[in-house]
Amino acid sequence: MSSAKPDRSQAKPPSKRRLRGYAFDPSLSVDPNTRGINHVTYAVRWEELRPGPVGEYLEVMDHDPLSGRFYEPVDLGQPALLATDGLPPSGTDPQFHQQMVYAVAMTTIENFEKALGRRVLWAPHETGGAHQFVQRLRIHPHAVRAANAYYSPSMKALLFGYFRADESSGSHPPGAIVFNCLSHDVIAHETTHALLDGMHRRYLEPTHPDVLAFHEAFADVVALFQRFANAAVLRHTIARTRGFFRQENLLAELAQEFGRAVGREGALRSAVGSKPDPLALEDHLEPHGRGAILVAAIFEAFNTVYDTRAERLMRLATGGSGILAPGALPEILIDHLAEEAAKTAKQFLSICIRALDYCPPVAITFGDYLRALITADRDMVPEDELGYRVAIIHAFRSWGIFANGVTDLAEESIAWPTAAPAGAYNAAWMRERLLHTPDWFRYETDRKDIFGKSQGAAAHFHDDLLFHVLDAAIHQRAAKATPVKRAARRSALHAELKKKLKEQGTKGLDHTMAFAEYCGIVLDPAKASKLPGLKMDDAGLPSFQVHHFRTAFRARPDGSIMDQLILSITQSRQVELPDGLGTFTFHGGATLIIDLGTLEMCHCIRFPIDDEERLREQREHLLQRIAQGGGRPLQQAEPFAFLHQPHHH
Amino acid sequence: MAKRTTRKPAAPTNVRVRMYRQGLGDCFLLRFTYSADHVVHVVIDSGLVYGAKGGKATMQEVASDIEQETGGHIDALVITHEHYDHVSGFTQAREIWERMDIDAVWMAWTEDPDDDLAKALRKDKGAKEQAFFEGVSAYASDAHFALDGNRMNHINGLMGFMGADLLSASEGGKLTRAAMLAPLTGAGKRTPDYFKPGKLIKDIRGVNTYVLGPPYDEHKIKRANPTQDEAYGGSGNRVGFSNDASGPGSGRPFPAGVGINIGPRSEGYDRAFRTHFGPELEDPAWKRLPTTDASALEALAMDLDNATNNTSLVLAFELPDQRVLLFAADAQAGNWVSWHELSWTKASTGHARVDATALLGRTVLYKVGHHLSHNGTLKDLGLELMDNPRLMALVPLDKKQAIDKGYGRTMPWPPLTKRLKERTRGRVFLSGPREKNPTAEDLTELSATERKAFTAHTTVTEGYIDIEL
Repeated sequence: MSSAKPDRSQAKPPSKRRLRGYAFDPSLSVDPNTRGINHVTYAVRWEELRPGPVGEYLEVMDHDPLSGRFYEPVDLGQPALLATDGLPPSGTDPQFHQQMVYAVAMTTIENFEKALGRRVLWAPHETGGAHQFVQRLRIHPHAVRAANAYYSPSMKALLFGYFRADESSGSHPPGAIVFNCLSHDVIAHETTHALLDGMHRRYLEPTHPDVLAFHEAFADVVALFQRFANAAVLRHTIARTRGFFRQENLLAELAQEFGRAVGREGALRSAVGSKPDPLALEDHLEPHGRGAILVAAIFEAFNTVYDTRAERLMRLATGGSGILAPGALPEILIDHLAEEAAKTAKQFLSICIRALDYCPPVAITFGDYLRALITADRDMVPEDELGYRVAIIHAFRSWGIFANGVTDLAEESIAWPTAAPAGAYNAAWMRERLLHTPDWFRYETDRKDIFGKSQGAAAHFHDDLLFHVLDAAIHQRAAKATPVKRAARRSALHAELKKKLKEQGTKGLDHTMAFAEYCGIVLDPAKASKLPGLKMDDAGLPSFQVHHFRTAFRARPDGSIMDQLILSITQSRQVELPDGLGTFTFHGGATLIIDLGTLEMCHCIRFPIDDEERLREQREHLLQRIAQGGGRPLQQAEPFAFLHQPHHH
Repeated sequence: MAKRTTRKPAAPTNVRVRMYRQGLGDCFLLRFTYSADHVVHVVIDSGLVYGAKGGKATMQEVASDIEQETGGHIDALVITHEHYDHVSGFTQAREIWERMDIDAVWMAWTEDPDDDLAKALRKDKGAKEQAFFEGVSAYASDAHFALDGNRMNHINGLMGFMGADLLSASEGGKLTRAAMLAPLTGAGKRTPDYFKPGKLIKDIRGVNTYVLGPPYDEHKIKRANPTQDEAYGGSGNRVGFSNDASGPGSGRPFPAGVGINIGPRSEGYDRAFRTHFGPELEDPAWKRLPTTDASALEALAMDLDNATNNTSLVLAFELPDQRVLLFAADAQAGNWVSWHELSWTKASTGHARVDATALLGRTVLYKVGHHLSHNGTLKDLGLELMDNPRLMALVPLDKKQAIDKGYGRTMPWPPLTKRLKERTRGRVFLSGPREKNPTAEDLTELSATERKAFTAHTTVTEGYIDIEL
């Protein structure tokens, strides 16, 4: 051994922080079947923490207003807790509750970052039209006195509830306090709502029966797949079901348990684990029932892939017969099956999250998500050797989920169209616009800087589409000005542009007009006048927004690198509802996926603003909701609070 | 009605009581048979709690059965009080009720439009109702109404009796008023008789009908909850969470001493926040939890609910052999206590001086007050006085609906249920369609003869329970 002493001041911080917690929720610790596997140690990415915990992404704030109490924040940095993997699981110690919500929420965040290939951002705080960076999601472990937990888009917070168990809840003794913040599934589910909102803010607008259902289903899928990361739980269930998820309906069992935890047993029970029903969507219009169908479809696909993988091991273990000897499975077989299940689940979780980048910016449907799943996976894994995509298409079809307007089931038909038709817009001109965009933030690691630069790049790109025809020097100066000065410059530029349009028509803007049409928006004033309710800017030109300007840096399994720019271009129209019921906002536009290496367009996911058929569908859906009393303001204020109430009419 | 009975036998030869099984709500049909072609029909209430699934169809089935059993002729329709679970059927099955021939409608003096005390009480109630429904409408549209979900569930549950819920709060209980008045308006317009306590109704030939409540006393009407000693298992007043209490049974999730007591004001929160998170962590107003407090609304809801329950018209039917059928409606503590201030002379009763103790002692059929809740049956002034060996009890209660509506904790009230089973030696019927009715193993305390008689005199179908007395 070397006699040189290690320089302790140079010691690297550890890569993980180990924190004890429940694998499910406290009720499973008293169930003889699950007692042994309910305590786990979460290994979350190391970060400096202040008491709370307060870190880079999260601030746990334990204010319980209905009890008039404030629970002291846990300091996970103190040596005693560092040495013991945090506090031991306990129902009666609020500091353990703080540790548990932190551990599970951070695990969920990590899974998103791994799949997306970038750092995640929370939805911005909107104030007076401006978007403010939100550094941390706030978590209130004891905010609500009800069997309820929800993500509040307005507070950028997760609110967890507690309630007294009554005689009707079988798993808890009557009178015991049940804490939602101690359930892995509930925490993962709510964190996912917040992460999804950070990526797609318009998914809170219930413009289609699928939109809120998608939010719910996606949150369930993430929570359920995360369970599979727990090796002990997997081994335990594989031993019990003898390795065959499908036959023993293990997943259905997990889903039911999950449903119980989040107070939605019925919806999941009727979908996951039951026979696929291609007509089920027609009977389920409410978010939970509908969402359960999407969950079921995704798990059907997971089962197919797992079965393929498990079958190889089974053959190996049975000398080729595939028939298992009676009795318990050998430990080594259990271990390998668990490994396959964990690997498959991890891949599915990444596939599901990655697809979010390939979703339309507004009014998502399950069919759109199917197209996003297939497209994203084709980009990532061009050779689908294990048949993941076939399994997904098949499973979705068996639950009656089809890509809108696609009549065949071929992978390449379901994927979003790859290339623009020749001459749809000038590609060289488009590359030039992107090259003008300053301050690439690819190598930026500070989330606040990423947010600021992404906003700046979006604003620049937006202005460049219009103002490139004007004096380039003025234009460049405007882009680099401070926000206040930029606003003044922009109105001057607008005035100038308007003058030019008046004098020469849209002649100098040919490329812009063609590109706008490609993106499903309308910038030509003559065409815009035919779209009632189209939002105009101060200068009287059709207004449009560039947002979601973000990059994704992902390594493919074959070792190649996928480096993409993702942005959305949208417009909106105010549409009158009949009978004085007010107006609603109709959005249109596109999500663009661009290869950052070549600046080639990979995909354009279009939802044109002048699609009158889509507009009519949304209007009808809204009128139906209002007729059913669903359009009440309370739901719009906190959409998830209402969704998660266990009993309502 | 008197003119119909003059040539008939002086006393009924057979008396039957039918309890309908619509769920959480009251509906009873009493049949006094004098001869094959002469039966006097009395109906007491017809309702089902707000929001019950398929409520309208169920109440139409109930009304159809009543129409069929009575041949469309009812001698007296008793409407005990203005709660949805007692009156909803009159609008849900309006067509059937309108075509029935109803000789008399009996109501409590509290509904009398000309009574000064009734007017004052109604005015008070109206103002409270308005404040309550306005408050609930405002609160339900508050973004954070779900924060205090238990309290809101409790309020929502209480609103079920007012014919409303959180989502229909702007309708402000209009449904209940409309249902209660339905038999007095529209095609079947009738003028009701309003009764005060102490009245002895002689309209059913051979049967003394004593009016026990509601008390003609503002204080007693407003007194809903029994004291510690008046009822079973303590007063049972603490329902759900309460902010004021501490220790077990309070709303706090952790034992006393855990956490910092910051009180309800923002100063306490600010101090705790700065102490523990320092000045560097931002805490903008939009990130803070609102300190919403629905306790005032909850108190108002309970007050309104109790006050209306206590306007219940309570009747004791004394048969010629002096057995008593006691229909307590939803009477609560103040109503029960007041019965004991009443008495009837021998001259009026026709056999002896009668008071509440005597009536309770001779009660053989007790329609249990307020769905077997903690404050619907008194102990020493109530059930303990019912010592007739033939006592049986009818409870309009569906436990599943009570739980769904959030009354599960006090309805049924376990100590009362236990004592009622002891007093009746197992002869307790619950109306809910899912409820189990007494079987041989519940009736082991009865002698073989008693058991035989009990079985012979009860008929249970899906739609009703018939008791022959």
